Amino acid sequence: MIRLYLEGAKCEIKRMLQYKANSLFYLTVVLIPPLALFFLWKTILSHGGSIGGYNLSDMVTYFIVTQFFVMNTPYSAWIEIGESIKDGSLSLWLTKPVNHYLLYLFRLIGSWILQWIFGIAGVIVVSIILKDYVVIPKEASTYFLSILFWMGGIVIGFSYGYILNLLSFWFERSTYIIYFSEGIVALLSGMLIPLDLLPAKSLWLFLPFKFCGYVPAQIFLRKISGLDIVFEFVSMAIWIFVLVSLSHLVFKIGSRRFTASGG
Amino acid sequence: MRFIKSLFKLRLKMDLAFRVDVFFNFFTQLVYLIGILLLFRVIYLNVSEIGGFTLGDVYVLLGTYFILIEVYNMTFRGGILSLPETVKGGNLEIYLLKPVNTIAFILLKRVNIGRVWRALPGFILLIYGLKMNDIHTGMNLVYYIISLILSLIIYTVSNFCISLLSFWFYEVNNMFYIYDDLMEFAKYPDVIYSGIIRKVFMTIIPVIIFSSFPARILIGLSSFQEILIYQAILLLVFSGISLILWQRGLVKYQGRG
Repeated sequence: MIRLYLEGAKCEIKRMLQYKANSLFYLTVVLIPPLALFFLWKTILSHGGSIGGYNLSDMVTYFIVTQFFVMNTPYSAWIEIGESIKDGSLSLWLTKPVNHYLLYLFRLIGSWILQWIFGIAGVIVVSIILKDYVVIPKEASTYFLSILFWMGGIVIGFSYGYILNLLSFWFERSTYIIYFSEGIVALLSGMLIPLDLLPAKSLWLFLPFKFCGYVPAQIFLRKISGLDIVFEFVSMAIWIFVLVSLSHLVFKIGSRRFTASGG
Repeated sequence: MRFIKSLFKLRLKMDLAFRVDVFFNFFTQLVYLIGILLLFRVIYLNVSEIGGFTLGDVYVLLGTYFILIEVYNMTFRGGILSLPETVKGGNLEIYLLKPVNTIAFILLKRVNIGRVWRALPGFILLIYGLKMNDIHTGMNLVYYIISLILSLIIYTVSNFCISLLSFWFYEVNNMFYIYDDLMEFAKYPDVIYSGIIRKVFMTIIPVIIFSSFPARILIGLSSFQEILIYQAILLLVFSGISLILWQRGLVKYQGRG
């Protein structure tokens, strides 16, 4: 069964390979904003100061890593999901013996892989440019854990976007809501500022979006270690379970309302 | 003038047809604005100034940045972005044969004056920043507006130069996105940049002057003469480059017919 979903992912990879140049240009998204923020933090923290326990190296590394993670998390899932509900083409998928959620998750992973590879190249480039200010962990386990948590963040981000797309069962157009909430969620992932520096931080640190950027970055910086990692992992697993279950529930309820033309 | 007026009217009608879209776009931008304000709030809880810029000054700078971006998006962006497609499709004659200035027509054809309210958060931020620092602008307000207009024109002309590259290259749209990304540098005070980056972003890709320079005049950090002269020189250079590219591009252009 899994082969079917992998085929879906493979098709998307092939499709994206046709647009290699676009993915290459996407590199600038992970390259430029951290560079601008670097100059800001360098001016503020260059004399050995720190803010909330973040020194210059921590801050620069945080923004490089988080920018990559957040910009590469599919918070809007696939807009096609919502549109297919509206134009009736969802019926094509309903008649097939596939899980709609999994199929789109795998297709999405396939369509983003090239972008992720170029994004990592961008992170390496910006880390080389700012090598004197970047924290480079020596342990392979740090990279592994950081990416593992981000993968969890991708599932969380996708599930959230998937549910929003399913709102098309009830609303005329959910696209606007998706784009709007995408901005909020990116903020709540810690893209512009570490979540522990925000007022009312316990609220932001409770929400699942921290796994899309903040937590993987904290692991990369080794600010979370030992038992805390286990605690965060369990918390992430619970959030994934809740969101995936909710996705299925919303799909089940929504598809009862679904109508499409044709025989 | 009558032609431009009817163009404005048409765009306003088209915009009103997609009210919800405009509404949510606005709120998306507002969320981003709140995020960046939070960033500076946290920073200024720990420092009193960044290279001479207080928190109020930064609000003036950010307000200027958002006004500039919104006014550009509302006026020239649509026209500039459409040029590469027009050149690629060999449809430029449609504009060349009209009895109006072709460049002005291309730049203004997608003016969207109905979106003027989207610049509102920028204005509010600007006024809040001025109030916060108890700045009485006086004549500086006039110089600020001139400087902001110059920034807008330089930004427009530099974007126009990118679109003119479509006479030589098949795909230039990604360059616009890179330029958009580079505008990230315009959100922060120009004093934070140093070395080669500062030199490049002050001249070849002058992103750091767009909002910092007008803001500097308004908050009284720099004399208006120096800034206006610098912007005028940049404008002349970019206008010259764009005219050369336009003329050479037209020679190279091959239409459909």
